[in-house]
This record gives sequence, C-alpha cells and structure tokens, in this order.
Amino acid sequence: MTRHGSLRVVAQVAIFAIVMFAFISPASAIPAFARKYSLRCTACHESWPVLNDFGRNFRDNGYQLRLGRDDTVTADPGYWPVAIHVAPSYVYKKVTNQATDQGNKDLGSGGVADAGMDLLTAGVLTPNISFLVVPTGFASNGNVHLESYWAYFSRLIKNSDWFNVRVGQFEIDLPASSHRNLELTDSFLLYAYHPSVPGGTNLAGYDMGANQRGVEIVGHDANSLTRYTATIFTAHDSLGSANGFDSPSFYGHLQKYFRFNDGPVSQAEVGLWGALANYPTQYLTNGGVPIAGSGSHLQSSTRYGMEANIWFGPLAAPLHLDLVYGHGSDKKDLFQGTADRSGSFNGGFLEAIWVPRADLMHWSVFGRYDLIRNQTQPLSTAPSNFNDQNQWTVGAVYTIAYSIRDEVALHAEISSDKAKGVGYGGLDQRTDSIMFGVDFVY
Amino acid sequence: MVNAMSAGGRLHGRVARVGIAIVALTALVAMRPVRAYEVATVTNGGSIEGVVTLSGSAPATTPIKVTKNQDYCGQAIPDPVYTVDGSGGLANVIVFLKDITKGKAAPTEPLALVNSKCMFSPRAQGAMVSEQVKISSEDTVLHNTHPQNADTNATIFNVALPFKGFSVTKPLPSMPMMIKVKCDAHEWMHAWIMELDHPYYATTGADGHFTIKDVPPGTYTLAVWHEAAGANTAPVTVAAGQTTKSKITLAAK
Amino acid sequence: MFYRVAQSILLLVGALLAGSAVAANTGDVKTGKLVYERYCLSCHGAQGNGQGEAAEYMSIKPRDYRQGTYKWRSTPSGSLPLDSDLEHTLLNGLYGTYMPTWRALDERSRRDVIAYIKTFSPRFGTEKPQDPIIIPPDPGYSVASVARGDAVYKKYNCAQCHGAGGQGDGPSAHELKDDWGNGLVPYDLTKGHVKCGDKSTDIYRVFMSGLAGTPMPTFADSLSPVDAWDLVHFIQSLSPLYAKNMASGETGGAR
Repeated sequence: MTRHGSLRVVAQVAIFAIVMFAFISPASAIPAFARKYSLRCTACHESWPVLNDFGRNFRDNGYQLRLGRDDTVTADPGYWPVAIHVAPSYVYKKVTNQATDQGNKDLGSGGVADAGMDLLTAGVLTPNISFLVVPTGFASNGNVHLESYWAYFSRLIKNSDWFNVRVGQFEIDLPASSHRNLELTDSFLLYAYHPSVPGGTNLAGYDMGANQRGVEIVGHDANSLTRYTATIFTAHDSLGSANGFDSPSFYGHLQKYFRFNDGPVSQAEVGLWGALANYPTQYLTNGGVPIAGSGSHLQSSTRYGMEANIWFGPLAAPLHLDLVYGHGSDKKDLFQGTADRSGSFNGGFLEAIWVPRADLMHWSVFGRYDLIRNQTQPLSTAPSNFNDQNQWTVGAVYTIAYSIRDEVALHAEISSDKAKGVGYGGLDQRTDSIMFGVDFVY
Repeated sequence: MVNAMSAGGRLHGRVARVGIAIVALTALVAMRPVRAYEVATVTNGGSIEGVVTLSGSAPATTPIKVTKNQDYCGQAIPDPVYTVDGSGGLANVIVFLKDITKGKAAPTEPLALVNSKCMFSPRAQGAMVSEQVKISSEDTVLHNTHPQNADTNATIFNVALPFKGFSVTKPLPSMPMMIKVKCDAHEWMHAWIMELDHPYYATTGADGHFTIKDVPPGTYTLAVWHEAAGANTAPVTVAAGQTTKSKITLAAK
Repeated sequence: MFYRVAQSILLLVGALLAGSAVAANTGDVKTGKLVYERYCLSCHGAQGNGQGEAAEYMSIKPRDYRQGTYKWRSTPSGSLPLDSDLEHTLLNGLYGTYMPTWRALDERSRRDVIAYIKTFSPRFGTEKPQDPIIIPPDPGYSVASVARGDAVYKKYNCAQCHGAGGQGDGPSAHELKDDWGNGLVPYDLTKGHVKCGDKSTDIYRVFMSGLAGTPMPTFADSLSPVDAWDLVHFIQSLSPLYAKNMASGETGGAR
C-alpha cells in the first residue's frame, strides 16, 4: 500500500465514522458492574472487552471487590445486575473460488448484519458465591439461548484464593479469550481448527473458544499474577457417551506474570495450556438411530501449547503483544473411516493491542495474525498443505463516550483469510471482510 | 459558598455574614502576595490607640441552645457574636496594619486558646505566621480543637482535649490565612485566628478599644475585621513617640 | 501484505519504546495522569475535587485532593501524608466505601498515580510531610488489656462521639461535618471491619494521627502508648470480626 493509498483509506474511515456518529445517540443505562462499583469500563478493560490486570483479578475473585459492598444485601439498592450489549454493524464480505452449481464464482455481499443481543446478568448472591447468566440471540430468527450460566464459589478452602470452583457453561480459560477479543470479523483459527479430509467429516468439531459445560477449578495468588485453571467439561457437540461425565474432556492452563519497575517493558506473561477432548465413535442404536448418551470407544482431539504476552509502556496505556502457539491432533477414528491416519497441525496467532496515550483512552488500535500449518494430513494422499490457513485482521475502536453506566464505541475492521485447497476444484479460497459498526453496552 | 456549607441551617444567616466577612478579609489580607517581613529594632515607635464601634443597633441574638453535655455546659450560652458595650464599642474585632514590611519581632509567648465552659476564649485574635498556639481545656467534657483554613475549610490540625487541665502547644501554618477554629464535639464552639506575616495586630476588648504599640513612624492603612460585621479600613499616620487616636466603625449586618 | 503489517507493527513498537524510555525517567506525573484517567476519574473527578460522575450517588464522598487532607496517614495531625501512606490506601482500599483495593495494579502505575494525585494540592510543593508517628510493638491482646482499655475509653471520653457501647451514638454523634460540609457519623466500632484497616497498628495509628478532614482528632498529645494499646484491644473486643480472626490466627488485614 502506498502512502497515498493509506491516506485515502484513513479519509474513508474518517468519513464513515462521522456518518456513523450522526446516526447514533449514546444510550444511557447501566452496565452491571460499572454501575455497581461506580467504575468506568477502563478500570477493568485494557480496551473493552479485553481485561486488564485489575479486571483479571476482579474476575478471579468472583467479580467481588471484597470491601463489604458486593452482595445483593450490601450493594446499593439501586444496583440492578443487568446490562445489554448490542453491536449493529455493516459488513461486506467477499469470497473467492466459491463452489456453486453454476461453477466457480467469486461472491461479494454486504449489509447491516442481523445482529443479536447479549443480555448480561451477573452479580454476587452472598459473599463468595457469584453468578453470571447471559441469554444471547434475539436476532431475527427469534432464537434465544443461554450463552453462559455459571455459579462461582470463591475461597472454598481455608479462605484461600488457590481453590475456587465454577460450575455451569462458560468459556474455558484460554490464553486469549475468544469472548473478550476486539476482532469481530474473524475467530481464532487455533481454537476452532480441526484437521479434515477433503469432503469428509470429523466427529470432533468443537471450537475451544465456544462455551463449554463443566466444572472449573481456579486458583490464583492475591493479585492474579500466578494462576491456574483445571477444567473438566463435556465436548458439547458430541452425541454423548456412557460415562459418569459425558464425553469427558479436560483443559488446563497455567500462567505467570512478571512485572518490571523500570524500562520500556512493564509486564510480561508466559503460560502453558492443554486440552484433551474425547468423543465417542461408536453408539448403541435403536432402529439404526444412535441413542444419545450411549457412546463408547472414545477418541481424543488434543491441543496443547504455550503463550507469551508482553506489555510495552505504562499498563494504563500499553502496547500489548500476545503470542500463542499450539499443536493439535485428532485421532484417526474421529474421521469415521475417511482418514487413514491421525491428523495433526501447528498453529497460533500474534495479536497486538495498542492504547495510545490519548486523552481518556478513547482510542485503541488492534491487529491479529493467525496461522494454521498442517503437519500430518489425516488422508495421506491429500496435498500436504490442504486447508493451511493465513488470516489477518486490523482494526480500530474509537470510544465516543463512556461512563460508569454505559459505553458507546465506533468499530472499524478489515480482515482477510486464505485457506489452501478448500475452494472450487481444490483451488485456494480467500475471504475478505470489511466492517464498520457501533458497539454499545448499557 | 464553602463556608456556608459548613454550618447548619439554623446558623445560616450568620454564617453567610461570616462568609462575606471572610471574602472581605481575603481581599484585604490573605490573597496579597507574601512579602517577607523584616524584623528590626524599633527605637522611636509610636502607638495606635483606638476604638471600633458598631453603627446602628446590634442585631438581636438568641442564646445558643446547648444540645449536648447540658449537665456540664448548661442549657444555653449567650451568643457572643455581637458583644457591644453601652457606647457602641464592639468586642472581638481584629485590628491590624496593612503593608507593613519591617518592625518589631514576633511575640515570644505562645498564643493561648482556652476551652472553657464549652466555649473558646478568646473569640478572635491575631497571630503571626508559624506562631505556636497553646490550647488548653478547663472543662471535664471532651473537646477537640480543630482549626481550618476559613477560605477552603481545609483542616490545619485537629487535637483532642480529653480532660480538664490538659494542654498542648501546636504551630500555626507558615502562610498567612484566616483560621476558623471549631470543636466538632460541640458544634456551637467557634474561634477566629487571623494569621499575618507581621506582629502589628490587636483585638478589641469588651469596650471596643485596642492598642497597637511600637509602630515605626509612617502612614499605614489600619484594617479591622469582625466575624459578622465584616471589614473596614482607615488611613493612620504614626509619628515618632506619639500616640495616634483612631476610630473605626463597622455596620451591623 | 503480511510483511507490510509486520513492518508497521515493528515501527509501532519502536516508536513506543522510544516514548516510554523518556517517560520512565521524567514522565511519572504524565503517566500517572493516564492511570488516574483509567481508574480514578469516575469518582475523584478530572479536577481532583472528588466530584466525579459517580460522587453524587455516594453516601461517603470520594476524596477531594485539592487540600492535601488525607485520613489515612502515618504522620501527625496537620501533616501531609507520606507517599507510602497514599500507597497504603491504594493497596488496602477503604472498607465499606467504593474505594477498592488496587493491589492488582503494578507498582509503577501506583507510583505514577500517587505522583499525579499530589499535583492537585499545592501543599505538596511547599510543605514536607512530618516524620511518621512511632508505633511501638503491640504488647498483645488479652482480657486484662481489654479491661484496662475499657477504662481508657471512659477516661478519654471516647463515648462523647462513639457512644458508651461504641456504636457511634454518643451525645456529639449528630450534626458532625467533614471539611467539605458533608455530614458524617462516628464509626460504629461494633460493626466488624474498620474502614482504615483491621490491623491493630491501623487502629493505634488512627488515635495518634487523627482522621484529617473529619471530627476525629489526634490523641497523640494526651494518650500514652501503653494506654493506646489497651484502647486498641478494647476497640478490637467490640468487633465481632476480631474474635473470629483471633481464632483463625489472623490479627487483621483479612479481606
């Protein structure tokens, strides 16, 4: 891109932002925690919705500040633990080498996306027992489902932060949360990717970033600088196995943060993570139809890797880089006879979030580069780079206004995803997206 | 107004007047650029003797209703704000010279502020910056002496006087300011200390009279300040070894 | 495209490295302003006057920084606080108020925001904090000390504000105001946690430093260390929480 060209893009974004600005009037109601504790979003979020140190510690403490004003009795009577989040946006998407009945086509289409709504309700029932329930959906298809629901029991043993338990449906403690990320037009390839056979099926289709049902044990030091989580969950897209814990799957995560009192680096983090999801490959049937909960012959889909985060500049307005690497493998039998061996891949992403030293942290700029490289194709005759993927996203958020009760921000983003051999006739397929949106929570 | 906020509604009228008085004083003293005062031997100083009178009749005051420790403090205390004698002399007026940069040394004895019979004594007095103030209690009830910058209400210090006979000496701030002293335990107790960067000040007695001694010869502005009646000034010329008479009036507000 | 993106990121890192290297040496107040805007502004206000957007709805008002008046100090009545005193409040929060603990913040952010908060009061430019109050070691909680402390409580007329039973209902408990004209009531010592800290030294310190800006005076000139420790133990005996903490071996600070 030439300098001239990038200026033109900036101008276009600016014009669009002004147009968007004219169409919205900031809502003024109440994001649950902000109102409850009279803090602005910036107190807990590096750049909404990415958590900062204070936010991480608040979350690990069961969304409690522990100064006698947490539960429904001691919080201000005006506190109503409900917040609403909506993000109307215009998205234009272009896909190349799309297989159609009319042959190979490039497709491009845009419009205001059929947005849903998150209804976030969360709070503290009694000291050290907190909850979160998030019904989501409400889009034009009318579907509403529970995105998350959990209860969190803090300090179960000897008033220690090292043993807390969460029960319900929640996002496992991934290196970078896929529910709290800035990018809206793409997902983390590393979390969602599974090796595949061209045109075939894979029983293990779960996205690690989706919410899972299970039990999580969380432990951390007072400031959440050293923390672990251990989770047992049910692989949610499985038909169900005949085990004491249906389709038993396991996840573990260990993190350590380091702080530096001088120099350009203010904080760094390293972590290890691993997931072992199990899927039944055989079922009892009735009239040829598998009986739910009768699965057996579990086969594993494993992921493990490490992460490193580094923060440059003050943590109040940092440049935050996040590098995550993972290795994944799915067992041969998961491919239902279409594969001749297990499949494996390496993948990861590098994410950058920059909060400029602008007044009141109105801006944040972000970008992410995702990479998937197959190591072993489950079908030995498939091209070795089948479904290798490269994806990048760059965007910016401008917060028009935020207070202890609401936030409204403009969001602009472009992304591009290239996948090898998945398009028409084994051609590469490329998906480009551009998005302008307004994101508000109240 | 900050000062008005610090008092209950019952006292609002008076407090508003005090506020006006403080604003007037601020114009007179506090916001003036601080010039270092130079101590020098005054060999042929003159004196200023005068009287401050209240023009018109003093507003009617109602006795202060004692709301706590009535067994010790009594049921009511006469309101000391307008203490006027038969000839109109107004007590508790701080009289001071403006723009004097050279002269006698600071007093050596610390200022006294006595908690007695659930009131402060004296009601008003001048002080030199950084001067020590000896705070004492003659009462058996707990008092606290809590001087605040009258302009900002900022606490200067707050010392407990838990029993009879207890005394403590504390320094006043190093910047000229009007100080309002309160006792939080007995909300009707107030005193005023005007901190100046020189020692040429006096307080009028029960008859409204005052004396300022050892004034280097010259022409000055004599200023007066009263917590409710506000401020006034008059030119005064002091001749070597002579006593200059002065009479200033304040209007009741 | 990828290389261009990578190049831009590298350029950004370079620019930021250069910027923050300067900030680490000279820019503490400037960085502190960012920390303040991120965490503090909603209550304490852009002008540091304690009148942020949330202040109106709070019964205990956020601190107005402009006078340099701070309740929690290790220094005598009338003195400015030490930086370590301000950090103590950041680390511990104020129980029962909206001031949370900011322990999770890094030391640098805390240091910078303290430097920034001090700029709201000109006093920090012209005055030096006095030496901190010396707190002798706690001789230890005992029934005998509590009994002696009860006598000290009576002798020193604590009941004038805090009431005979320590419930904050003494004869002078009403019509109390702070420096800002906000009404306030004496602390109910039977409630549990103590706002300025549950450690025995926290309670001792309050007697000796007073709570600047409030009616709570200093007793440093009238109360001996021996009597003060007995009084600390008596105050602790009034708190239902303290008995529990004694049992679990924690003498305070449990949050």
